[in-house]
Formats: sequence, structure tokens, C-alpha cells
Amino acid sequence: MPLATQYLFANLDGIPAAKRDIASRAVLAVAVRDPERVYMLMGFGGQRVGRSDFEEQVDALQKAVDAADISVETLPGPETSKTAQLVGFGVHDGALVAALSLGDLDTANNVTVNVPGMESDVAGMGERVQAAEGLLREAHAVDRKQTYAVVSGVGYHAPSPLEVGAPNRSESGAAELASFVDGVFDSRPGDAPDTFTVAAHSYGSTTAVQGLQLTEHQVDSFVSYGSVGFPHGTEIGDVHAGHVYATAAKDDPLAPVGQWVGFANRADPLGFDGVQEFSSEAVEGARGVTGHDMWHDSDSDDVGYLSQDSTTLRTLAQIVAGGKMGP
Amino acid sequence: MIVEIRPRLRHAIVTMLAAVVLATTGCASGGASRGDDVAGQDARDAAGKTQAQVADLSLQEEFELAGERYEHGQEVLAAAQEQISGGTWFWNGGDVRPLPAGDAAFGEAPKGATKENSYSFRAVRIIEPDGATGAEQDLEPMQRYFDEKGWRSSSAKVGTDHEVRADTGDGWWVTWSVRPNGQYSLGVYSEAFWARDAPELIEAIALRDPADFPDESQPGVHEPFPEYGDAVRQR
Repeated sequence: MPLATQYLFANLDGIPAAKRDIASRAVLAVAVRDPERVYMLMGFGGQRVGRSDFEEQVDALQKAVDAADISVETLPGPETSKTAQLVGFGVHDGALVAALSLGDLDTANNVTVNVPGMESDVAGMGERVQAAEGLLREAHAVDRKQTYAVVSGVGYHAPSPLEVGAPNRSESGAAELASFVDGVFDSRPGDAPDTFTVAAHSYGSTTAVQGLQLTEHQVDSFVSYGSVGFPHGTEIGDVHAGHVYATAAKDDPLAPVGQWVGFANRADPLGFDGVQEFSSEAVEGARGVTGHDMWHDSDSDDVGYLSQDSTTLRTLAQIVAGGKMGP
Repeated sequence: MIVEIRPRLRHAIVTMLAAVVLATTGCASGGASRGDDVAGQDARDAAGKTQAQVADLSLQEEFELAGERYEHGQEVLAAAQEQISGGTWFWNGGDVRPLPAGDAAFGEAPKGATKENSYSFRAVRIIEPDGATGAEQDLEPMQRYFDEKGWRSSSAKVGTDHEVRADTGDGWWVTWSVRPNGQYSLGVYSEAFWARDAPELIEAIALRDPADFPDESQPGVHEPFPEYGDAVRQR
């Protein structure tokens, strides 16, 4: 199949994940082997993403895929669910994007899409996949009778710190997320996931709350953590999610700053009617979140939102497994 | 619309301004983890070792040391399982491959520990006792065991789950969670162990681990830790 056709398939929402995986891996393999060819195919042409940055991100993504292929072998659940799927590798709004699923997105009866925030790029996929594995294992410990797929999606051009106050990136990313979510449902006619959760970190939650107003399908829960805010005027009833949750740690220094720099456009999710809060603080049985990161950062001693044994991870796993918080 | 500046936001603004002032006056502290590494040279890990003590180990020596630690963790797990049931337990995935640690590991990480220079183990098993409903008193058998062992323990409710956990005092933690759906889980987690190069060590283990583990087993059944000389799987 011509490379351009594989590229098209890789990024076509609504086709089975197994097929997207084959196409995405094929394009990625060419990008590693012959970066110039894919760089031009994606239309970068020397703008926005430089050639060296492109190669760095491609190499990091390949490493993340390789690591995911190893880690899925140790996941809980039936053998058929122990697969990693690269379900997209392309461009959005001038940025390299990709999505990687731990678990079989075509058959899992419990699907989660985790949307990252500010400054997230394909180069950081490896850490997000480790966070996804922690979430999947924690959810399985809550309910082992389900099969899980957790997608780490870098599907939009995340803003730089200088852009985080503006709504542009979230608005353009919202349509991409909506298409991806609907695509999962549409690729499984008659076999939709029993439970679908969208979780979103930081600026990703701004993107996701807009994206979930554009979907045709309703998810069970939308969980915002460390959010930089929902757009003013958001009606939670318009969000196509059965439940909308938000949490922010008191020791997260960046989420409120993100809300502050974007105050003209958005506000703390907890100020919106219909949003249920849960805690990210320490309790005897779990650690409180002490920073802004999704996972823990090598260069700090912070506990991230999805760090092992964090209150947020424990609660999110319960929401993922149950489709909602509480019994 | 009135924009209310919440206490957390005010705190963040003050923090940010303070950080700017510290940075511009050259008084910022902790900006480079390298400095922490130096300061943490004497910090001891879960096995009581310092970073300097592992600095000269070969990959094979680190690999074998990790294997000994894994086996110890499995012994802790099996003994705790027996307090609840000698019957069938379900696995929550494989246990052999360690995790990058740093502050993600249980317990207090040694100063300077990061994902690059430390690792930890985890092992979780699940059981579904007949008639279980997540009652808090279902914590009691494990609490009694912790007390018998003289381990410092605490209990809490995390979301819908009741849990009791104990610090074994020698670098390991045991957690027992009971849930309303009747699915209870037992976890054994290590604190952070120093490594020269944690990603390299973890990869070396992962590529020799056939990940051949059962879906369910009785206590004491565990996946053998690979030998360093085992075949390295090709990606």
C-alpha cells in the first residue's frame, strides 16, 4: 500500500484500531528510517516543527511503542487484550500527534482516553504510557471482570506556556478529540464499549470539555484533573458525559496560574454547576498530589496526579472501572 | 462576570512571584536535581544501600540483586495471602518487571532518587470471598497479621474502598483493600532501590522476562525471576 494511503488510514477515525495500528506503525517505521520522506508527507516543509525536532519526536515515539509492546505482555486480563495499538500518527495544527492504546481498542469493554495538557508532545509519550499502565492495573484491581484499553492521546497541538492563556489550541483540538471519541464508537458497530471515560489533564481538560460538546456519542464520565479551566459559558448539561468530575491538588502550583492567565476565557471547573469534585489530597491510604505533572517528574520530588498510589489515581481508577464515582 | 480569586489561586500567584524574585536574585534553591544527587549520596534506599554502593556494580550484579529483592517481595506476598486464604487468587498482571521509582515508589524516597536512578517492585493479587461486600471489618484479619508482625499500619477509606496498609520496616509495604463489589486485593510494594541506570536495568529484566504468569494461582506461586544469561528477546 502506498505510504500516502497508509498515512491516510493511520489517521482515519472510525476504522478498526487494529487496522490503524498497522498503518500507523508502518508510517512510523518509515519516519524512523527516512525522516525526510515523512516530514515532507506531513507537510511540515521547514515550518513550525523543525527537522531535528521532528526526528527527536519520532525516535521517542518509536521507543514508547517498543516499550509499550513489552509492557502489555505483563498486563492483567486475557491474552487477546494484551496488545499495544498505535492509533494515529499525523499532524494537527502544525504539531506532530499520535495516540497509543494499551489494550485492544476494538474489543475492550472498558475504554479510557487520557488527554494531556500544556506542552505535551509526542516525545513525552513514553511517560504517559507508563501512567496509562498504572491506571489500567489499578482499574483491573477494582474490577477484574472487564477488559480495558487506555489510550494516551496526543491528538492536538498543545499550547506552549506563552499560549496557554488563549483559547485557540483547545478550540482546534476539541474537534480532533470529538472525532477520535466518536471514531471509537463508530468502529465498533453493535459492540460499543460498556464503559467509556475521558480523562484530561491541565489544558487538556479545556480541550476535552469543548470536544465532548461536539461528540455524537455520550461517554460515561469526564474527569478533569489539574485543570486550567473550562471556557466561560460552558453548560455542563451540553457535555456529552453522564458524569463530570474535577479535581485539583492544593499543592498544584500551575493549575491556578493557568486559570489566572486565561481568566478572560475560562474559569475553575469547580465553579460550574454539575461538576462533582473529588480530592487529590493525602489520606492515610493514599498520597496527596504535590505538583502539577500528570506523572511524577524526574527533576522534582513531586507526586503527580497519576503517580503510583496517588489519591487521584485511586479515585480515577474507581471511576474508570465503575463508569462513575461511588457505588 | 465577577471573577473570584480563590485562596489557592492567591497562593499560586504569591508562589509564582516569589519564584520570579528568587530566580532573578539568584537565590533560587533546588533548581537542579544534580545538586540533590550530590546531597543525596549518603541517602539509603529500601535495602539500606547508598547510591555510592551501587555505583560500581555491573549490570549483571544489579540484575541479580534485583532478583533477590523480587524473591523477597514474593515471600512477603505469599505470607500475607495465607492470612486471608490458601485458595485461589487472581493475578493483577505480571510482577517481574520493576518500575522506575523516584518519588513514585512507596515510602519516602531517598534524597536524589529519580526515575533514572531508582526502581521498585509491585505485586498485586485479587480474591473474591463468598458474600464479600466490602465491609470495614473485612480488614481485620490483615490488621491482626500486621499487629502480630509488629508492623506500623494505618487504615483509611479511599473513595469506595476500605484499606489497611503496613510498613514492614525493611523497605516493603503491604496493602489490603476491600471493595463493595466483593473484589478484594492484596498488594506488596517495595520502596525505591538505587540503580546506576534504572531504565537500562528495567529493560534488561523486561527483555529476559517471558511474562509467563497464570491468571490465577494459590499463594506462593510466582513467576521465576529470569537469569542474566537467559536469551534476550528481540523487539
